[in-house]
Amino acid sequence: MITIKDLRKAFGLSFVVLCAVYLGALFESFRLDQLELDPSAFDELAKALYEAQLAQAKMMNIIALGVIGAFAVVTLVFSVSKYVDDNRANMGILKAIGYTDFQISVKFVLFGLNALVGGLVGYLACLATVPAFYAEMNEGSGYPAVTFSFRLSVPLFYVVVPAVAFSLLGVLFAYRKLKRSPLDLIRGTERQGKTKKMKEGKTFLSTLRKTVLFRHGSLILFVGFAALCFGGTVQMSFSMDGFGVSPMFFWMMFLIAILLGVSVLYLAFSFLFQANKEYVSLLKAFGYSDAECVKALFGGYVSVSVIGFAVGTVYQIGIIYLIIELFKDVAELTYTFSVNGFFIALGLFVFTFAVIALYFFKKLKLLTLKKAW
Amino acid sequence: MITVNLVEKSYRNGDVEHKVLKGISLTIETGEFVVLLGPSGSGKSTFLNCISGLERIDRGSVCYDGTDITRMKERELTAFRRKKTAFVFQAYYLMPSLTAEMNVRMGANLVGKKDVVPLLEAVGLKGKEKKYPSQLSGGEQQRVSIARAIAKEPEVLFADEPTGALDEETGRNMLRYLIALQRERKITLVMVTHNENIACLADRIVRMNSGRIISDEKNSPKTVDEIGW
Repeated sequence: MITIKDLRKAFGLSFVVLCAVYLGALFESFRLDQLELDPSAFDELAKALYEAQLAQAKMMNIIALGVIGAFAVVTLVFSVSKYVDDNRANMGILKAIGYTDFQISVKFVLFGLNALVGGLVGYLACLATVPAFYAEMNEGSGYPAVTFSFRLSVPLFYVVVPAVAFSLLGVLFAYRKLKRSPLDLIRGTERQGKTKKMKEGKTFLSTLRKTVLFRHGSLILFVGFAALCFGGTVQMSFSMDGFGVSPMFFWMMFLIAILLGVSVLYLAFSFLFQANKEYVSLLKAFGYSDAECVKALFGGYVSVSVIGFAVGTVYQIGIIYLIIELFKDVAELTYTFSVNGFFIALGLFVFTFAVIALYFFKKLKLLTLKKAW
Repeated sequence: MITVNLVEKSYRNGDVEHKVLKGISLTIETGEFVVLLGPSGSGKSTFLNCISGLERIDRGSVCYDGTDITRMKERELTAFRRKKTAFVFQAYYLMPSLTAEMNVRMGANLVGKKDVVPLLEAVGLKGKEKKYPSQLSGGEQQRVSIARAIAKEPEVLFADEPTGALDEETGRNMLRYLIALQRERKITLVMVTHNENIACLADRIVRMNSGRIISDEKNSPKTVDEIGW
């Protein structure tokens, strides 16, 4: 039932896992190798830098596993949910002819493959950047160079465990989603009491905009996260530039944030478009213009983006102050808000938002009632 | 007046081209109630979609008071639909997350109409304004879709098998509402059906088969109570 082609559609999950594994494995490997050293023989300054780098690696791990990892779980839930919704009629028929919920949902174990691929690529990318990363971390540390040793525990914990966990979670969530009568699945009727209620606005279009926004609560999280990637991490790469971090760190942070932000935003808008095709085609049939349809669909997410970007800005300031605190005994770092960084990150986000919305605007032009319903 | 001239439409399924409309010509007078009658696959729904501007045709022309809509750009066609037409579909096509009132507002908004409650009352849905489609019966949902269509004050109303999903009693009531509104507001009504009895309600019956018109006759319309089902 679920094919490799279907899994390709869930590329967003692989990508989020890739980013989490890359960052997590890189900093965790360094931390474990660092722990091999005996700090008692270091002078005070080297000892302080050693401690600060250990804490920094721990913090990056928390961000990678906590923030990006948690987001990967949300992406999995979202991908499974989308797959069930897209194929609900087929699943309803399977249930109607006697397949149990478990027999159908067990196929969702394959979603673990997305996590496995993302994890493997992330780990390989980590191995590829280890020499440059270690050289960067060792530079001017004042204590013996940390050297990379391969530990099986790292790929096991960062690649195999997530793949297994995601497989199980996929099955579990699909099982939960399939707990509806076969007829409900075939007809596509909402579960009793599950119809998302309308959010009243001043006009019909503002009501529709608000309703679309709150109809897909998880997408608020996605768009907010994409804005946070730009407002937080992209901006942070510029803010930290003021600390004299190497170009490698700058580009590592910048590119991961951009790629993560772009793919998450694309994923969210693609789902939004698919889920509201019927609404849009109906609006078009009645004579609403394409621009009105796009506003009704994506307009509500503008305010979500503004909030996400603002939260990201505050978040990156918080992280920077945390880094200053970690390295206070080693170096005197002072933070000044990067106005250029703010506007570049904002500009990049607005550009990304506009390009993706324009892409779906073009797709919307081809939408007809016949194709949508 | 709608003038349809030698309209052709084909669909491609892989390498096979399937000709659905084979050079149809027809004239519909303003305020007329025309039924397109024919068996499944005769091309009546495709014809309805083509003359209403929902689908592009391959050849021929569709003129509204002399203006050929087939030559219009997408933006002009949207403006045309906005101003002139409305639709009632067999599957209702209501927005499930919006209340009955807000579904009707979708049509009313296009003509700047604020109060839609009288329209819901006119189709017998007083007190059900705040209900969601899932909380309404099939007949009530179809009445919401009629109110939505009427709300935009169309010159031409297209109805594709509007009673197709309804039981006899609900279907009859729905037709009463629809025809009363059409007569009262002098709207041109083009309805697709495969039901001979329903066709007897129209001013004119156009029979279709295999993508062609096989007969086009004036009719003395019967009332809903006079027809069988």
